[in-house]
Amino acid sequence: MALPSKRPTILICDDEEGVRESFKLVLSDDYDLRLVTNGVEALELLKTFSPDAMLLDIKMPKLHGMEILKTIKKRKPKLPVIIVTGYQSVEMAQEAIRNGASDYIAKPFDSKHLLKSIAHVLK
Amino acid sequence: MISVGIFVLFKNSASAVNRTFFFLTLSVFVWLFGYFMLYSTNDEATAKIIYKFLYTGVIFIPITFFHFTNRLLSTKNSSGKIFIQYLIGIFFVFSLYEMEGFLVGLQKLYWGYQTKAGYLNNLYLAYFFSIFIYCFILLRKTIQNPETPPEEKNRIRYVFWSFMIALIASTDWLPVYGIEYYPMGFIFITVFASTTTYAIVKHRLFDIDIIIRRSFIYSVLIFIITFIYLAIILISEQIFRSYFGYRSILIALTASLFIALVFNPLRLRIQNTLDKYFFKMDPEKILRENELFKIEAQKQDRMKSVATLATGMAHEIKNPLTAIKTFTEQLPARSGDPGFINKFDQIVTAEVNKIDSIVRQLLEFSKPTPPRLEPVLIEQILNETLDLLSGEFVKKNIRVEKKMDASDHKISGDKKQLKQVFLNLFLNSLDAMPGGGTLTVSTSLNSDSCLLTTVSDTGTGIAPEDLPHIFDPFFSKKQGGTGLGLSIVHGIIEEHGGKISAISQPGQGTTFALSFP
Repeated sequence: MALPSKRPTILICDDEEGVRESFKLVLSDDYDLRLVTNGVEALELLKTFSPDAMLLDIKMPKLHGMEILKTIKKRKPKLPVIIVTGYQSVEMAQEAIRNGASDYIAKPFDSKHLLKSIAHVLK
Repeated sequence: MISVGIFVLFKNSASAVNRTFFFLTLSVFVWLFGYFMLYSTNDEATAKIIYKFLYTGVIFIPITFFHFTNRLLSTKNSSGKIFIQYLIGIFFVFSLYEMEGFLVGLQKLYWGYQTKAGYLNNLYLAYFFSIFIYCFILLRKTIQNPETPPEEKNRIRYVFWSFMIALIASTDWLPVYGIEYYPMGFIFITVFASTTTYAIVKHRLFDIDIIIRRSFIYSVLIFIITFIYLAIILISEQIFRSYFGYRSILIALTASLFIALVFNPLRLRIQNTLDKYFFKMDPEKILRENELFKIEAQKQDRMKSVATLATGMAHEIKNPLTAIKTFTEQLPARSGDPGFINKFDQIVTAEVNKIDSIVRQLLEFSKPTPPRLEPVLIEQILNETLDLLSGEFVKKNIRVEKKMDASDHKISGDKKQLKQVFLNLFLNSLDAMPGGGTLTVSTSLNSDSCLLTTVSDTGTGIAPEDLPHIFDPFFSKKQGGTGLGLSIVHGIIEEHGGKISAISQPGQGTTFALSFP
């Protein structure tokens, strides 16, 4: 009998409860989720925990998403980070990609597009 | 000259414009003081030492002028060019002290020793005029730029013309080339120094106008009076000698009396003539221009606010929309799941309420109701608002301190709107002190009978980089904050003709200061 394969773990960092619940709704069937509400918590958690991918908001209290992204890329350069934000600007997306983001998804996101993007970065 | 430079420096030593102007005046001072010393000495060896000293000042005049102009106009990427000018200056100073080609000795003219120009002096002169022409072009371009505010244009215009006047002082080079022309550069430098100083220190045109006029008037006046005084003394002495055979102190006294009598009428005559021909500026026209520019600037500010507002609002609404969209998408497939339906009800309702709240606040921000002004006691409003939150203060272990020193003073205000102002400020303080602390509310009257109100907390404080943005719409560092609270506060205070500002020390707390007319 084949052993059940380990489900990938996604770290979600967003300050809005509604958004976190939406991620849970879309992703919890396929992935294990860890949810945090700000960048400080995320960076703290990443000291002891290695997710397979991360979903990161930009505008959050305490630490700006772009700063979090830069720090993560220094500590864990191989961790795929997908930016999910309400800011739909080309400049912001370019900056995120330059800073090492694997994808940039605008809110309100399309569930299929989100799942596809995660599957792509996990390959 | 140097006192003018020191005055400007002490007026605002933090300003690069003031500092560079000081160095410019220092160079000019070395030049003028050097010539004064040179003309006062009869010893050739001393004169040789002095001329090198004074030329060091002369060499740095165009360089410091270049530096000053670039700082005055805030020219971008000018640091490299400025550095090169100083290198050129060092080369000229080196050649002055170590090479023979700069100045080739001294000549004795009727007013004293004068330097003789060498071939390097010609090169320096070409450099001197190139720099001045370049800077004049820069100043002229800024004056002609339609984006330069009228007040700034006038300020630069005065700097432009005062330097033009100063340039006449370069006629002091004529004797260096053997032309016997008495160096009178100091007169033009006096006019230049006073006008430039006031153009820097006072931005307002009328102050400069008065100063430039006075400088002109008194320069011309001194010239005429000296001429009259000398003429009276020389003529009277001739007459006295021919008739009585001796000199008398009476001559000098008569001349002084005459000068005292003609001084004021002469000053008025010169003033009227100068006003008629040189100062035709229409103050009303400048005021109108300034007013139009301010309206234009306000319009541009409003456009920027609208853009900021639109971006912020889009982001704020997209978060609840994400939840609504995702839950709605899943509804057909999961309608039979009671857990999902429960969550749907909870999340979607909360997110719809959030959008409703954002839109309401936005409306309040963009179309503030004009305040219904009536005499109100600010302390009463403060007390009522504090009472509203008294339960919260106890729950969060926050001590409230009141320092009310304007008990009977009434201001013209809208009670409801002012209550909202203080409610927003107190709620911010509550959020800033999650572990408890002290909220201090004070009122006092300042010397202009303005009512000052401060709201201070001992909370987390605001980061210095965030402080300039706290009144911007949608700027928030709080969990779940819309970033409209302080924007609304700002709008209401402005509608009341008041002012609001904030100071903060991260980790120590924040103070909001409000003043009402």
